[in-house]
Amino acid sequence: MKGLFIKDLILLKNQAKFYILFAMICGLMMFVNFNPGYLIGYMTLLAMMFTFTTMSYDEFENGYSFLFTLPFTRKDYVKEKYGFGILISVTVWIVFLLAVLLKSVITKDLDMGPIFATALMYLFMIQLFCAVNLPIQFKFGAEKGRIAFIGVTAVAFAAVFGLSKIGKLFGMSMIEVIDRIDTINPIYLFGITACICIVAYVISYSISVKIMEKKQF
Amino acid sequence: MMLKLENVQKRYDGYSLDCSLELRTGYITGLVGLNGAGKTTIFKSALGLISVDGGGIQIFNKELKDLTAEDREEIGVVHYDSGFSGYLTISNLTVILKNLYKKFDKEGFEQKCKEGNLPFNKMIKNFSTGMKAKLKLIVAMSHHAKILILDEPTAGLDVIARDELLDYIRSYMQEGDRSILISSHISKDLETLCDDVYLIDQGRIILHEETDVLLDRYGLLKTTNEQYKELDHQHIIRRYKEAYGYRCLTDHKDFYVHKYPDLVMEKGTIDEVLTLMIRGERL
Repeated sequence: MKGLFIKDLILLKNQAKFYILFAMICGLMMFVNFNPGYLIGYMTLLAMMFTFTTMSYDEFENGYSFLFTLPFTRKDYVKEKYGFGILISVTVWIVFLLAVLLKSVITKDLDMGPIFATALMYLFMIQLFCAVNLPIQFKFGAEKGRIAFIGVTAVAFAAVFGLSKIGKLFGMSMIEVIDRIDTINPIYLFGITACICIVAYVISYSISVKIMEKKQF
Repeated sequence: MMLKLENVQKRYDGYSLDCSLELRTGYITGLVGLNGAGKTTIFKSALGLISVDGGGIQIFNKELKDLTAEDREEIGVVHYDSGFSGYLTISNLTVILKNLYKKFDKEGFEQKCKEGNLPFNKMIKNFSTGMKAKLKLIVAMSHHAKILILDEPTAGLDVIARDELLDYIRSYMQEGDRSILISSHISKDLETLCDDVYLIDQGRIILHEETDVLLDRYGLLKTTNEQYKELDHQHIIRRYKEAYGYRCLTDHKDFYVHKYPDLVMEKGTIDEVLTLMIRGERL
């Protein structure tokens, strides 16, 4: 599995130019008072997206039928993709958070509290995105996976819309629910979100393993 | 026994595979058949890339499902249409393979790549067909695997490149306790390389023979209609109607050479045997 991980790191390194360019643009945007929390989230999302890029590299030109003759199990492959996604996104998140922190120390014009809260929420959202998207990518592959993900997103939006309509019937508005969430102690809120992410990852991982173990190459 | 397929069955829409095959220690075993005969399905079944509908597959005397990652280190694979990502370089592969295989021979790998004039820092996707094929084989051989499973390793190569690759394969067998299962649509390659060959057609093994036996004992007899009528048919396996009479396949070439010295007898090459076995009429 170590070899697989190194393969993905090398693929990432080979595509680093593109990422560095984005990082530089984001760095510049920080100096024109762009929301740093959003920038950290954006760069973290880009890093996470690279996990899916490695999967499309693996799949390209029947790559899987060679890859799965190498000395690891299909479960190892799934494990590596989850590990890679989490590690790379958290690392990038920390690096950019430290960069913002450094800027705040130098320029003394940033309030790190809300920035940290926004960035943390983005990190959780990106992990949830990964947990939902990975089984879809494993099931449908890179090309069809994109369409399937759009489908899943549409269903999720429809579900939220439907819930808000049902809520209205019982005299509860979505705005009120969001306002109520705002009143929750942030530490509890982050704790709850982190738990949701962990549960989502556990479910997502077991689905992905089942998908890959059944897959034919 | 390195690899054993026992009544392995796989059914697709309009196609079914049902075959048994053995790869013995120290043997190079060839798999020959027309396009779509089932060669790749056999390879994929043996490697666990597809599930089978029946039968058993054993590698190193272990059931395929019980094969561990360590066992897989003892298997080197070449697929004609698949390999490492084209966005990697040979320098990248050196690092990856070192971390994938405990027995990865870095010096040997780099040496072979240098001998094959393969550039270390060029992305694989920019390699020529010959360079890619060479690299796939060098990778498969780089970790001292006990079994090499080579699906059309010479596909798309010119004569010189093919010879070079066949030499690599031969040299790999110099160390004992190794076996190779290889398929090629160029059967001449297999005649000089393999210890035994399996002929496959429409998902069934139609012939399994030691290569020497096939080349020595099998022959093609060309007869007119009259000659055919007078011919002793006891060792004729297949016949095929031609404009001049019959083309017959025998596995007792000497019998007919001695008994009918005037008849035209051609050497049984794998191609000829395969053609007659498929297109010929069974007696």
